[in-house]
Amino acid sequence: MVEITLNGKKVEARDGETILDLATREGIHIPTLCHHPAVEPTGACRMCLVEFSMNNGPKKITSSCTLVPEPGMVVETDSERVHQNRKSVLELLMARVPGNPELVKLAKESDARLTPRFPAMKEDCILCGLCARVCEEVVGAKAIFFTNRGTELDVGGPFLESPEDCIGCGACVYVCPMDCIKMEQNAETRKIVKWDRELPMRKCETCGYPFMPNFQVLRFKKWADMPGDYFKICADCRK
Amino acid sequence: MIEQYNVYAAKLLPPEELFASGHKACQGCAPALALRYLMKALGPNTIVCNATGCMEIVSSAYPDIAWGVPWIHVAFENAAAVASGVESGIKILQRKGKLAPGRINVVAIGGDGGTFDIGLQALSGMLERGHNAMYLCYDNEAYMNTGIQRSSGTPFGASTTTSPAGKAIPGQKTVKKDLLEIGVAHQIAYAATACTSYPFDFMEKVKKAFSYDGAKLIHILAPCPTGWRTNPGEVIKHGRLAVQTGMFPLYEVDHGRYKMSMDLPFLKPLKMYLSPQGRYRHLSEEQIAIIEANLKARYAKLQALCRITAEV
Repeated sequence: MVEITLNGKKVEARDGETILDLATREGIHIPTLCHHPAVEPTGACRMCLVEFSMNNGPKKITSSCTLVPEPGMVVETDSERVHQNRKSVLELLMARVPGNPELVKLAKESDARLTPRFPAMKEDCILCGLCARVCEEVVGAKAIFFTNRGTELDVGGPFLESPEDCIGCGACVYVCPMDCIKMEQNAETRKIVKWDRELPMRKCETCGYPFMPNFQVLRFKKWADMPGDYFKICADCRK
Repeated sequence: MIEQYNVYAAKLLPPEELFASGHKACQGCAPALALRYLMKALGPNTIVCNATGCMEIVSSAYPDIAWGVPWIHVAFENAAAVASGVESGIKILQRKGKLAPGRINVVAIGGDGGTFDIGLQALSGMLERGHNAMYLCYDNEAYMNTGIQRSSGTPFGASTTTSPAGKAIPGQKTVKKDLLEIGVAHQIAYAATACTSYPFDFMEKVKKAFSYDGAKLIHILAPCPTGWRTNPGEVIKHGRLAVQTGMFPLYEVDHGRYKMSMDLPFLKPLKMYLSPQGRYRHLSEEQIAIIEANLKARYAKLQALCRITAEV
């Protein structure tokens, strides 16, 4: 238990909590894009910036999702400087991904807008890496990650080709804050469009319903040591 | 689209339980699941107005309560009216500066009896006045809490204690009331059907509903093993079969635009859904064929509505 000052109020942080968790628990709204409680924070999107100082020292700006409370810490989530910084970050993101509904919603909270200062790039991804972190930490497939450096940075399979380890589970589709990873499915195949990964579906031997990609079945057998015929029929036909 | 999240997305849900375990619902209760998913989708900044019904009884037996949010129990008929009042109260307190600005989710919850039959007038009022609140109807297709009496949400052919199957009648004589169409007729921002067997679809719909201002309605099918006379361990399967046979199609109506939530490759035979359920045990082959023909016509009508409204 660590006691800190949050927006002028003394609060106690629980073990393992970050400033973002603490503020959310206290009912203080901090905008986030790349944060997800199931994975380790990296502070990639910079939307959750706060101002803090240690023992009346100089005030610094940092991301609250990676900031761990320490005794004597004073945190401001609502100051003028914080809002200015968040607005600049949001304007840069909006220039990268113009017209994204999630960013438009955040822009309504501040007064960020598309400025001629940052030329529009017409990308669809903000490179927060949440999909790659979920693929590694939650799924364990490690199919996608960052490739290249600097302005060439991109996210995808090795060499930006179709990732051979992708099991088509859709966890990246589910978490993507920009909603730029799309999945298409018909009776024969499931395709994750952004990664260019197409997987044939397995059909239930009893009812003929496509229920799982074939490759996913092979991986689950390997990971979970399942009997060979366990995935021949779908969960509805299984007794 | 929605079946694809079945493997890992469950690990990505918030771990907080605002509808806690330890309540007094029966084994295999799917309405309790519906509320748990609802609270995971909405988070702690929520006020719940709960009409009398199964979920009110099981979650608030004195001196315990399962809710981790402000919760008010109201009479059978006025959950929607109370939610309207709560929403107006929040608006006025925020205008006067007595309450910090920001969004507070207001939800009214009722069972199929409290919505289809008794609370329909208050629901209509809430939808018509356009209060910024959501009405969730968890539909287990009869008054289960008082001992399985028929409601207007009971489908044709189902045997209940007040529509018993015998020589005179084949169970319920009338067809299920189409609640969502009543909601859509009020020209509300968002209306959708959901099923407890597809939790991610349901949670996405709740989040989408609260991204709009105005009244919204979600109708969720929640199988009840006690009243449906099924195995409590198979409620998820029965919910899935209800959707995959076309008995309860999942769709949403977003500002008048119909959209199917699932592209089914084909409709499974209705017998797969009906035969495990004791309430349909008496049905003859001809009666099943009649029900199947009706549901196929309804499914085709929905698909046509999706096509027509997508162009408008």
